[in-house]
Amino acid sequence: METTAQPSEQNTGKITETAEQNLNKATEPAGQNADKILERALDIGEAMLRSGAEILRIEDTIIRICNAYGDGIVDVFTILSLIIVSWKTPDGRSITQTRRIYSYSTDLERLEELNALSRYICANRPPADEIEERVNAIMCDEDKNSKYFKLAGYVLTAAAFAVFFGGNIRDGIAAGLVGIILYAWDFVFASHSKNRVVYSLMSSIVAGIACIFTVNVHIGVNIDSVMIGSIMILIPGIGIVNSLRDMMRGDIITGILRLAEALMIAVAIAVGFGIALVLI
Amino acid sequence: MTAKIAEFMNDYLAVLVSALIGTLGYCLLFNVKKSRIIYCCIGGTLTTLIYFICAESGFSLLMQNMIPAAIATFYAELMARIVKAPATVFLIPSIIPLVPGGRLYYTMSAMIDGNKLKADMLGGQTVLIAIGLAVGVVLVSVCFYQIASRPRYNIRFERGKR
Repeated sequence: METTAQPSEQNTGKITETAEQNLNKATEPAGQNADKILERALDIGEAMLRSGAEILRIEDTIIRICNAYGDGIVDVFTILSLIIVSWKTPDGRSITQTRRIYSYSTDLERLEELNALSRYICANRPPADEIEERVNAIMCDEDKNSKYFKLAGYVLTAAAFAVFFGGNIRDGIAAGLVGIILYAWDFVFASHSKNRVVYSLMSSIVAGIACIFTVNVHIGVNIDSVMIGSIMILIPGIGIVNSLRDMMRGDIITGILRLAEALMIAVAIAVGFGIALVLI
Repeated sequence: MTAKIAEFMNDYLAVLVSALIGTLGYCLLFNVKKSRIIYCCIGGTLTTLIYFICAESGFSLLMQNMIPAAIATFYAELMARIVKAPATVFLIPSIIPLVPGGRLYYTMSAMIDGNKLKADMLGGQTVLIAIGLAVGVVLVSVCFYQIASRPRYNIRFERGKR
């Protein structure tokens, strides 16, 4: 296969800088490397699924990456916890790989970077090792400030929605304090949890107790508004939106999985705050 | 007319500002790229504004949530094409002020008080709002997806191909 790599217009930032150098590198056609390429394509698929992408986007990305390195038929099946790819490569072999995904969260910045990366791969066909490096760089980069931004996110969301749903400024401050407590809770325990429903239940019990405490020490006035503010941090809004988008595009299985999980989390939140109210 | 607008703004200014800050917080919570946050905040505030306009105009509960959700989706899909980013990035923060967190809480609270009638009513409203949001999002998204529909892969059984 001839290679006419062209830098894509849509690549931005650091990716464009190195695009020039990569034109000189020998771009390898699929053949002996097909296994490696498929593995890297699965890496990107997994990374996207972990960052909260829609199923169609993931399947599309994997097919495009494989076909950028060689013709042939690519079959992908993706649900929330599994990716299966089978590729009939140009030299006639059939390669199948699967990937089990255990945990996922939402990180929209990573999603965007992975999207840009896959465009770059399709346009420039870098060697497999380089893809691995870049995916690692995206998934492991921990900006020093990102912690503070996240903390600010917890505080601002809780405080603003406490006011939004009919509280006053003091309720906002109380909800902001609960946001800090929730951030600390997530910071310590989020990485240990396997089951998101049970974890949401525990988080909302903690948040509920914190809300009652802030009202008891007279920081907040209306317990209702403070609690609603902290509910808005926990509520699975993204799950519901993503489930709708998946179902609309024909991925009914994943849509139902996401919807079921979102509903269970919503019930768990209600139960958790209820337990806190009954306990104290 | 201007007096009416002034009165409206006077009533809802605090709510709009809090929606703006809440949307900003939600963007930070889910790590939206810094250069996109401004568009998300505009979307969230716009959605809230339209929600309250619909509420003032006396639409039903379903329509009150469906119309802003549809407009938020339209905004998100439009921005996705202008700024060249996935539509989810703009859709999720824009739609978050509509999520019925308040009703969920009051439903739970009524259940604990043993007020079954109130709990049923509020629970029903929560579900109705969720359906309204879903229909709003789906209605607009479907139009966009029909324009750029699913590409055809895996063509094995077609004339002239293998």
